[in-house]
Amino acid sequence: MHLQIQFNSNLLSKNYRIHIVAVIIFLFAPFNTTLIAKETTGYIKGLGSALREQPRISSNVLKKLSRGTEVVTKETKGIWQKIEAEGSQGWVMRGQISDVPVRAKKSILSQKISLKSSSGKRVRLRTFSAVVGVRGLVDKKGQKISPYQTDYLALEWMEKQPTDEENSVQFLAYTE
Amino acid sequence: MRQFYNCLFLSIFIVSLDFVSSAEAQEYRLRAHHIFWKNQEAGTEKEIDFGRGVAAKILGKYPILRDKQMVSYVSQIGTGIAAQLGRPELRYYFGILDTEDINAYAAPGGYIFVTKGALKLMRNEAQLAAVLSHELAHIDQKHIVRKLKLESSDRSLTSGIAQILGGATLSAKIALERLNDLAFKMLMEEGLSKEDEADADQKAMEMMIATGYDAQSYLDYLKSLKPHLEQGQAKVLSKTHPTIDLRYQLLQEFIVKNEIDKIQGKKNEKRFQQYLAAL
Repeated sequence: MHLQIQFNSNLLSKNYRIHIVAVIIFLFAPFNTTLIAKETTGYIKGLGSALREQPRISSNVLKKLSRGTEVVTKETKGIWQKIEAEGSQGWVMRGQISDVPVRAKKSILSQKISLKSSSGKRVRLRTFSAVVGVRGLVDKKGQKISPYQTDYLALEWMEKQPTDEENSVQFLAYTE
Repeated sequence: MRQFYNCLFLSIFIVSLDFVSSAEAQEYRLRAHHIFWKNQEAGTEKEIDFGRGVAAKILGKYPILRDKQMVSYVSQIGTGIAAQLGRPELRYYFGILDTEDINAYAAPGGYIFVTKGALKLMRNEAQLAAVLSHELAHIDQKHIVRKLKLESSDRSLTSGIAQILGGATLSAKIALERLNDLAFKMLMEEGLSKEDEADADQKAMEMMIATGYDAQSYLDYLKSLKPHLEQGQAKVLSKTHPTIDLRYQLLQEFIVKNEIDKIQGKKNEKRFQQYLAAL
C-alpha cells in the first residue's frame, strides 16, 4: 500500500513537471521568434566602410564595404558592431550602420520660383519659403508673421558651393 | 504515458501556432515597413524644407563669409565625415558665419554653420572635425525635429505637422513659419537638452575615431572654450549648452570606457593653419 502511494505521487509530480514545461512554452510562445531572430539586418551608410578583424581602429582591415551593402548584425561591443557581410565576418563602428535601407539623396532645390526682389532686381529663388524670404510672409491683415530676418540669397550662395563626397573622403584621408 | 503524449501534442500545437503567428507578424512587418518607407521619403523632403527656413534665419542674423577657399576646406572636411557616417539621403551644406562670436549651428535637413570666431579659436583640423561632427550628429539624430515633436516614435512625421510642412495654403505656410521661428529660437536662445548635447558629443567622438582624427583634440577644444564663455564672447553657447565641465567629464568617461584614450589620431595642424591664415 505504501509502495503504491509512493509510485502515484512520483507519477503525479512527473506529470506536474510536464505541464509546467508546456505552460512555460505556451507563455513564451510570442517571444520565441524574437529570441531566434537575435540577428538583424543592417545597411552600410558610408562610402567604403572598413570591415575590421577586431573591434579596434588599429585592427587589420579585411575589406571595404560599399554604401548600401546589406549586413547581418551580430553582437555589439561598446562603439563596435560585429557583422557578417559578403561572406566575411568582422567589426565596423556602430555609426556606420543604418537599420533602414540606404536611400538616394533628396533635394528640394530643383523647385524654382522667379520674382522681383524689393530692390527691383530679378532673382530666381527656390521653393515657396524663398519667396517668403524676400517678400516677408504676411498674414491677412498685412502683418509680418516672423520677427526674425532671413537671407535666402546668402543661403543660395552656400548651396551653390560645390561638394563631392568621394573627393571629400580622399581629402579627409590625408595625414601629415 | 498517455498523458505524456497529450503534452507532446500540445507542445507541437503551440510551436506550430508560433510559426503561424511568425508568418503573420512577418507580413505585418512588411506592410508597416512599406508605410514607414513612404513616410520616410516624404518626411526627408519636408525636413529639408523646414531646415532650410531655419538656415535662412541663421543667415538673417549673421552675414555669410564668401571666402570660397575657406568654405571649400570646411565643406570638404564636413562632407568627408558625413559621407562615411552621416545620413546618406541628405546632402550637407556648410557655411561660415562672419562673426567673432564663438559657436556652431545645425539646422535640420543638412545645414551646418560654424562662426569665424570659432575657427580662429581652433588649433588644428581635428578640432574642426570635432565641431562639424557635433553638428552633424544633431542633424543625424534629428534632435530639433524630435524636440519640437515633429516626429512620432515610429519615425514618421506626426500627421498634423505633415500637413503643415507639406501644405500649400497660406495658413499652412504661416504655421511652418512659426515652427521655423521656434527652431531658430531653440538654436539661439534655449538650446537643446543636456542629454541631446551629450549624445551629440559622443556621436561626434565616434565620427572622429572612425575618420582617424585625434580624440583628445575634442577635449582640448572644449577646454579652450571655457575662458571665452566666462568673458561672454560665447554667451549664446553658454546659454544653449551644458557646462563645459560636465561635457568634458562625460566625454572623458566615454573615452575611458571605450578605450579611445590609447588611439593616436591625426591632427593635420599644418594644413589647418594654411587655410586659416587667409581668414
